[in-house]
Amino acid sequence: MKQQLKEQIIEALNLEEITPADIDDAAPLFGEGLGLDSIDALEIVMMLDKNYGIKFADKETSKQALASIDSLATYVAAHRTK
Amino acid sequence: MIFLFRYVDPIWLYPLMGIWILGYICFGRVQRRAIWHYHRQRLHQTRWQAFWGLIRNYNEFGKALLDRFACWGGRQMKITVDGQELWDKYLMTEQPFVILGSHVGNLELAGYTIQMPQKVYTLVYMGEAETVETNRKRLFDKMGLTIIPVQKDGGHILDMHRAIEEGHVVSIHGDRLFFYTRAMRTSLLGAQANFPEGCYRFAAMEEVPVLALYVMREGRGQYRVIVRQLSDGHPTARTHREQAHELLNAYTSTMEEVLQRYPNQWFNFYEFWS
Repeated sequence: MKQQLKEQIIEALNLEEITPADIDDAAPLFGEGLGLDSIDALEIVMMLDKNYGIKFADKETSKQALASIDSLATYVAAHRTK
Repeated sequence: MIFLFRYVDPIWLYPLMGIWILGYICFGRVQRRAIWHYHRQRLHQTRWQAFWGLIRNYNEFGKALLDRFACWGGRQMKITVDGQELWDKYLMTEQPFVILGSHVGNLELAGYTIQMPQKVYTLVYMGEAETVETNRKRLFDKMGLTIIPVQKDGGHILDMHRAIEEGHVVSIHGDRLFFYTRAMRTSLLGAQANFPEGCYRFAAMEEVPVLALYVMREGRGQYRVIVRQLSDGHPTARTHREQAHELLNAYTSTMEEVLQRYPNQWFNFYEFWS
C-alpha cells in the first residue's frame, strides 16, 4: 500500500526527479519533508477520491491523514470504499 | 463614516480625496515609483503623460474606494455588462465555476451589486482594519457571499475545493502572491511578471468553467462588468500545471485588453514586474 501511494503521489504531482525510494515513510510530506504545499495537498486529496473513494470529513482529518506516508496508508486502509 | 454615505453622494467627498491623493503622491514613495514605472515602462508614456497618468491612477483609486464605501452605506451603482452571453450562461444560472479577479478595477463592487442565484465563496485576505473587515463581512453576508480567509497553512485551498464540490462558485484574485509558496511567470504588457501558481492550478484541477471578471468604473455611479471565459472546464490530457499556464496566459490577455481601455484603473501599487 505504501509503495502504491508513493507512486500515485509522484504521478499526480508530476515529481519527475523523485522515486518512491526517496520518500521516507515517516517523514512529513509537507514543509520540510517533500516540500509540498497546500495546492499539492489538494492534488493528493483529489487522487485519493478518484482511486480509493476517500472524502475527508473536515480539514483537520485531512491534515492528520496527509502528515506522512505512514499516516496516509493507515487512513486509506481504514476508509477506502474502492 | 459608512453611515454618512447613505445620505451623501460620494461626489461631495471628491475634493477631500484630492488632499488624500496629494498626501499619497508626496509621501507614498514606493507606491508612486511603482505606478510611475507602470506608466513609463509598460504603457510607454512620455514623462508628462506618466505624470498625469499617475495622478489619474490615484484619482480613480480614490473614487473606487469612495464608491465601495457608498455601497457599504447602501447605495446602488448602475451596472452595464460586456459579455452578456457569458453573464446569462454562468452568472445567472446555478452551476459551479471559478471567477478569477484582479486588482484591476473594483471587483469587490461586484459582490455588492450582482445578485447571483448560487452561493459564492470569495477568498479574502483578512489583514485590514477591524472596522473595514466587520463592515465588509456584514455586507458579504447580506449579499449571500461567504468569505474564505487566506490561511497561512494553506487550509483555504481545501475550503475552496469543498465549495466547488458542493456546486458553488469560488472567486479568487489571480494577481497577488499572498502565502502561496510558488509563482508562475508570464508576460504582461511586454515584460515578465510573477503570478500565484496556486490559484491557476486550483482552477485547472477543479474541471469547471473559469471566468475572468472585471468591474470597471465608467463614470459617476456607473460601472461596466466585463466577463470573459478562460476555460470551459472540460477534462483534457494535459497536466494540471500545463493547464494552469494556459489559464494564466488567457487571463493576462484579458488583463491587457481591459488595461488598454482603462489604463488608469491599475490598482497594484507595488513593483509588479520586479
